[in-house]
Amino acid sequence: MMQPLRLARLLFFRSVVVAAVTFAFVFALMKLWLLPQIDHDTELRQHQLAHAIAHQIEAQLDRPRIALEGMAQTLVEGGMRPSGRMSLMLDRLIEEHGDSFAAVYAIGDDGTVIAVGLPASRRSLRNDLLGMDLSKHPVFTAASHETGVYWSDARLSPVSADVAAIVAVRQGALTLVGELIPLALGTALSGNEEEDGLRTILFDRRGTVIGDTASTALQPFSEGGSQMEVAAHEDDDGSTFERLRIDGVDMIGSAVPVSQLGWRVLVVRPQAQAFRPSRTAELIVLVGLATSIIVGLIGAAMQAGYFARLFRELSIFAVGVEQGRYELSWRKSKVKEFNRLAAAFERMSRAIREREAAVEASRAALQELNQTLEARVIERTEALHRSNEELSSALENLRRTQEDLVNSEKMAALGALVAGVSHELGTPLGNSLIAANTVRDQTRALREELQSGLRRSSLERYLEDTEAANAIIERNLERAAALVASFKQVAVDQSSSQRREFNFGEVVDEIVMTLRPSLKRLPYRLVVDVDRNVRLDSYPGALGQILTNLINNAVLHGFEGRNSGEIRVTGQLEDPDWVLLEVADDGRGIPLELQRRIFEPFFTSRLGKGGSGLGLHIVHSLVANVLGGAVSVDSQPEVGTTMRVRMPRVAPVTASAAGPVA
Amino acid sequence: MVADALRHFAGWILTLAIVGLTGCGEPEPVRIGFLGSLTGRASDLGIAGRNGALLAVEQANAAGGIAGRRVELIVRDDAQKIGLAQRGVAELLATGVEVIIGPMTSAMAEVVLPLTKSAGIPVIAPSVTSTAFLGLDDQFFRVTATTREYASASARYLAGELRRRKASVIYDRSNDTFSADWVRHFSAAFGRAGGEVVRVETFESAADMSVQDTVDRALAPRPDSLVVVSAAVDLARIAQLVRRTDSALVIMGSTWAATEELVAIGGRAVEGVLVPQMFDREDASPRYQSFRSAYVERFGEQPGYGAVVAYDAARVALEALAQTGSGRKARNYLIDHTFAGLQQPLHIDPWGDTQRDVYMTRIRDGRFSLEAKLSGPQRE
Repeated sequence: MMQPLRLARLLFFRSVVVAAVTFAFVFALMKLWLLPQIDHDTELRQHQLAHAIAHQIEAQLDRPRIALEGMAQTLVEGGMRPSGRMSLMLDRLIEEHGDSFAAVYAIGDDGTVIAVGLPASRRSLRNDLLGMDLSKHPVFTAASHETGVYWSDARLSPVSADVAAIVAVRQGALTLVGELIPLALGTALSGNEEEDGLRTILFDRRGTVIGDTASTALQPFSEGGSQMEVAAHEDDDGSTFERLRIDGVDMIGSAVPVSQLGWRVLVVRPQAQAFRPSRTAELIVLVGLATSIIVGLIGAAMQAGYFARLFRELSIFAVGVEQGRYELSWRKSKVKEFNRLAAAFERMSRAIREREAAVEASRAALQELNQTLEARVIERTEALHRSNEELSSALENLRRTQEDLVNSEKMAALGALVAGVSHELGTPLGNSLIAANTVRDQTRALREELQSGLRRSSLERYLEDTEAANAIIERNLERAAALVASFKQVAVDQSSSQRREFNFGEVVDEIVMTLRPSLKRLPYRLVVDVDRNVRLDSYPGALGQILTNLINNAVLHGFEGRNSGEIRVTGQLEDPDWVLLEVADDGRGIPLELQRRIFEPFFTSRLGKGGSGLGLHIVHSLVANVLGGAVSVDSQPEVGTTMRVRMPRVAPVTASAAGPVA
Repeated sequence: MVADALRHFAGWILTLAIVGLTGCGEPEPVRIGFLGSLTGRASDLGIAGRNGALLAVEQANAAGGIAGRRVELIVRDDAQKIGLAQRGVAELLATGVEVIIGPMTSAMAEVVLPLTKSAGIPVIAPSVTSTAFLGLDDQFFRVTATTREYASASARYLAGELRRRKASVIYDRSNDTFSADWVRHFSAAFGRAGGEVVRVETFESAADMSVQDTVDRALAPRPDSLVVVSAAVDLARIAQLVRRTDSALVIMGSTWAATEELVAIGGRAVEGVLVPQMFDREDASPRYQSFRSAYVERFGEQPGYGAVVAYDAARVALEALAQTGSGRKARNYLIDHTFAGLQQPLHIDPWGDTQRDVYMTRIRDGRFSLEAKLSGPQRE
């Protein structure tokens, strides 16, 4: 994520980018299109100027040529004249064309100067010149070949002893040679130049400078010369445009041939000046661009500042709203959108204020409510606390009551046990008593007989009876002793809740035996079928209590109002580790809706008829907590009820195993 | 102006950028100045000298310049005028030339030397022969012998080989430094050789006056020879006037007049005229022939002595610059050093002067024809 920019900076940078793109585009356009066009125009103008100058020179050179041709015609047609006469005619020619010729001389066929025309100031030289032999002079040799006009390169003149251009006209045997005044060329060249550093140079065929508007002497002009930087292009008429370097100054030059002479006019001007229009245009465009960019950037900066100020005001306003100042000091902006935004802000602020007021009001109400609520909560909490305490004490009472009940159950069971034991012991003890009484009576009868004489038969009968009685007493006392031992074990088991290893069948038998006396008076049968080979490592006391409760339950509830019934106690190994004990009756059964609740404490169908409601709860509690097993009920109304107790052969060791109830 | 300044500034930055980008720009050229008469009476010598120097420079550039730098010849015209020569020298010094080739005449040398002395750059004058500059330990060098050697050799030849005893002398006062010097040394040597200068006449070439009277006066003592110390044009005029009346008189010119123009303008009148030359036009050595053909191809005419000595001067300057790298250091290389000249080794002595053979020629059939090579002109 980029660092967020400030608006002013963003706008400014955007403006810079836009300006740069614009600049690049306009600059490229200028460089690639405008400037080349201007430069081309400049070159064209210079070229045209060079052509114009060349034409001007041609025209200027035409006059002496025509004059010379006319004179030659006159001289030849008029026949040979004396040298003096001819010289005078030539003098007149020079006077007539005073701005053209430095000297005119007539040369005979052998190259001898026949007549010389000179300007008045030089006429004293005439004598020296007459008779000179110019047969070796290049102008004469060139001109003598054919009739017509010949233009020389710049030559050292025999007359002026200066470098001069020479025009020669051959007419018959006569050659008229005119030395052009170098100044004449100068005037031909002048008039166009000096402005803009324009410089016109006239070269002859050899590249010697014939005339130059600037004083600086040029090097010979020739194609491919060392100073030629670029030969740009050559036109059909042989004119060229070139860039050259003169005395370390870059120049552009147009070279135009002066047609008849084979000379060339070179118009040069410093590149810097020639391309001033394009440079000026470039500069104007650049300055204009730069100005517009600067102005644009300043404008963008100001605009950005303005926007930033508006946004700052709005954000200050927003902060104010946040801090609770709702007045927006908004100066009407020129931008409609901003005014709209400000109006929206104001509306928002108003709405917020109204909503805040409403919230404040509801908050006050809520606070009041809260305060009363607190009081009420305290009130209720106290009430709850109180009722809780009441409940706790009730629960405590209840628990004590439960304990009492359990104890009373135990006592009841113990009572039943004692009753059963007493009953069981009654028979052998009674039998023994009767036998003992019989023995005492027989003994007394024997003693009376002894006084009266004893007969042998009586004694023997006595002994037999005594032995029989003794046997009866012995047998019944043994039985009583066995019973007592058995009861003692049951009582110990019941009261001590001790864990030990025992025979499942024996313990069940012992328990059932303690119950038999109470069942004897009732018309119900108790059938026991327990596997005697099963040994358990468990709590025989708990098992006894469970069995007692279940049998008592069957008698009390299952057979209520019945004259007959059978209780079947079965027990066997279900698998090597688990034992199944079932107590089934064929009584009334338990209604389905009650079956779920029979293990709940204090649930009883005999409310008010002596049931504590704890019997099956105790069974459930003992099976689950002490024996580590589970008890379930399977009952059908009017068919009977089967209670099933599943327990492990080895009871789990639990802390609660030693508990009094559980 | 501000606009120009701005544009210049932009231009500078652009230039800097381009130079920075390309790593190197075109190195600044080595500038050599040339001063000579390109217009006026002595322009045949000046133009020839300019051409010779230019050919040497162009050949150097074609061979890669000096240490990769192009050589630029900057030419100024003195037109044998003091003011123009002074301006020309000032302009050359302003462009930062390393060495100046020129001037071509002794008269101009007198004007130029005081100006160049303070600049500390060598001035190698191709054709200045005046003894006025002899033996000076300064920055002035020449690749020719002095007037004394040429004038003395000419005098000895005239008196010895041609057995002339009475000589008249005409000389041009407009180049007094050279011509008076020549006349002095000629007269002395001619006298020593048994001859006598019977008449000395002068004229002003610039005056546009007829030299008829001068010639008449010179011929009045009926000399057996006429010595003319002038430019070619004037020698041609004088010879033409002499030949009207006397076709047998021995006419002898000076090295000044030894140009091709002499024949072109003089024609029949200069046939038989004796002219001492600084070089041998008929030299068949490959070195000279290759120079000659290059010159003809470049300038469309035969090289004259001005071209030859200026070519030698430019070659000397180029070699010195190539060896030392700067005009200010060139002096020690130049003095007491032997350079390979076009036609002979050129030894520049500790005073900047050089010995050169004298070639005596006679004009025959419109051509300079070698009469004798007057070597070993000893100092007297």
